[in-house]
Amino acid sequence: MTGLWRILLLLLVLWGGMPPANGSAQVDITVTRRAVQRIPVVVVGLQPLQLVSGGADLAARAESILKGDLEFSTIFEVLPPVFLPFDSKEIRLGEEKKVLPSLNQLKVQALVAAYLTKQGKDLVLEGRVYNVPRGAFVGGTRYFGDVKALRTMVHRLADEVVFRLTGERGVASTRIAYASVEKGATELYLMDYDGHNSVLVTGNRSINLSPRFSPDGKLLAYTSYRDGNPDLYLLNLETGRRKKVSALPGLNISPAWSPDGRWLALSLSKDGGTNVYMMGLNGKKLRRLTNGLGISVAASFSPNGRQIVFTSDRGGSPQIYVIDVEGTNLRRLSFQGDYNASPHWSPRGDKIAFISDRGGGSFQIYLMNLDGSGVQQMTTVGSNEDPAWSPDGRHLVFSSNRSGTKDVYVMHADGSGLKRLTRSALNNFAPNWSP
Amino acid sequence: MGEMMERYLTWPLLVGVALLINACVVTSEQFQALQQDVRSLRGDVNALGQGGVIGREGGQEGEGGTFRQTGAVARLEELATETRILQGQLEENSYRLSEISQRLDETEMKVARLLGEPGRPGRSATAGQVPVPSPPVPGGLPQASSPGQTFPPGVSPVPPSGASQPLPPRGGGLSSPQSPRVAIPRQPVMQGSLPSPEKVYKDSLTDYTKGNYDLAISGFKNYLTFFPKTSLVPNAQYWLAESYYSQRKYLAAIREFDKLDKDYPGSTKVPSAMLKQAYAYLELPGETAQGQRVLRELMAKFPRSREARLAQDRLERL
Repeated sequence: MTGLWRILLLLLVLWGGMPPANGSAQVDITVTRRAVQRIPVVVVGLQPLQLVSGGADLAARAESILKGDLEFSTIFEVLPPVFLPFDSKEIRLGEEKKVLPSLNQLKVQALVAAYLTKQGKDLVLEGRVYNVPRGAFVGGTRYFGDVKALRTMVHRLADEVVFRLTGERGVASTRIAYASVEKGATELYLMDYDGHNSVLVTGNRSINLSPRFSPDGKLLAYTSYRDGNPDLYLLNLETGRRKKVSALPGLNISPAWSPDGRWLALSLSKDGGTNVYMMGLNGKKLRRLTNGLGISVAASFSPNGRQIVFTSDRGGSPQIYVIDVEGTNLRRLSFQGDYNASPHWSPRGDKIAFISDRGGGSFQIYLMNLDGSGVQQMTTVGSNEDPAWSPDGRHLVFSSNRSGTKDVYVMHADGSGLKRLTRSALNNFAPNWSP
Repeated sequence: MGEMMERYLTWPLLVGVALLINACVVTSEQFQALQQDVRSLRGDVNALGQGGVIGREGGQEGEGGTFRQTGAVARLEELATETRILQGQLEENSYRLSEISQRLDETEMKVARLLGEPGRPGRSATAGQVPVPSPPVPGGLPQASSPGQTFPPGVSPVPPSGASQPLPPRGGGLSSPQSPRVAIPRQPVMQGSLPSPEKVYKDSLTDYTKGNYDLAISGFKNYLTFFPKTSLVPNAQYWLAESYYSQRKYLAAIREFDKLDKDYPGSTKVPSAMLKQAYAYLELPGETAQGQRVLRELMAKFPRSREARLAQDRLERL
């Protein structure tokens, strides 16, 4: 049960336990509002559906996924059925409007009605969204697919709900790329944003690192030692075709996409030192941004594509720096701790996530403002690395050894809602969130 | 009484600033001397390397030459490390200096509030007491509401200036007349709540980073208008110009970048501003000569800066 409903329940209990108001008794109740106000929603429908007698209830599975998606969005708070004055599973397609008045009394803002039915060999998922205070139908959609596609269908419905009610793009249909160490090799995988449906995308039995989705989600840039040298590749996720785009002598590592998808920032060591360069997608138009014999890596673009944040030891220890894409206006952002690295610029533009070792020999994830001020520690347990933002800037994905092996975790941007995504005995790390 | 209080509050900060400035100057000198040493040693190593090649070609390579070369390389690496460490110290000193300057801004605002001198000339406006811009100058820029910052009723933010204003005559720039300066308001005050300078600056910088350039321009103009003496003013001026540059409004960008060098010649952002001003000129048809001139001026003024190297590269590609 989430916070708002706990408060509501507490108030009801307090109300019941109080003596009747007689004019002489005065009780002051102070309710502290949660930092982030979520939109109360109710999910109805999803009557049980089994493909074979005694089989799993697919509707229950869909309901669980849908509610999980809506809750994880940090936008909605799904009201538990126990608080409803009706049985949520009794609501049939077309009957939604009759429950809107009672939901309005409960201050519910939105009703999501979902129905899973069988049509031949396919499943049909139909979703309808209502604005409760207005008593108005907001929109509806229908998805077809087989059992294997059920998770995808539900994720899409969740994103549709987010879009219809907020105008934002949801993240339920996004994916996360990550690296996994197995049998001496480091391979790259893709999985759904909730950790399901993991698939191998490299499989060359070499070392593959730093997966980075292009802004349109069609390409994956990564570094691979497949041919001996750490070269930079682009993998077309639709066709499966790979292309080596940078194979200069030395390192070709830590790629970052410009927001318009036309440029890659990467680190090269061809000229002595390891410096940040910008490069066209064909490997041409190479332009050096940083200088010196030190190491400058881990570039990440600002949302407007005009600045790059990166890690450099040009000041004697690894610290976070920002530079304009023309290679000018270099400035340092981190001044606390001897080791600050892996910066990632929020798509909302106002925060930079990074890691820092501030004693104890372990890394923790921090956020800071664009001028380096307002540093907030986001993790405390184990060693946590590789922070990367979700496309809506509401969540962070990262790797952590808190459970023994390195695994991929997600959390909300306020540090709450921690969730482990990978559970294999392997080390899983370097996650990157698709658009 | 009020002046004594002010002195009491600001004196330690001023002493701190002076000490830090002193520390920074010493560090800068050491840093430049080390850079010079590194350059000199690089030259020696190169010369030795060439000597070695000649020696090998002539079959006369001696152990002494190799030993000297190895020693020079080791010394070079040592100096490079020292240079990096000093670079780091320089960055930290600059950061502390900037922090102290901002605290000084805040302290002065508090002192002004305690003294009941909300609109004191010379420092920023006081929270709760809002300076009101002068009425629009006849024939001047039109007043426009700011979509980015929420200013109290009666307070009009500075309107965004259009890109059509003339360019500044930097040493014989474009043949247009000198641009009219944006009307800087006098400092009458009114009751109301004004966001802190820090908030206005940070919000504007976030707008810039998101690509909301019109909001950023409006915000930075408000910052320059309402907090004209705070330590981040040169930075705000830079980001104002950069916002125009990002919009490809090169005429306006040139004009605003020009103010960095003219109004805040000690700012660390001057080399960047000059470089981008030159780049902006080079984007305009028929202004290549102006761009080249600014690049050369930059190289002459800041010969050891990274911007000078970028200017050299650009000149070579023209």
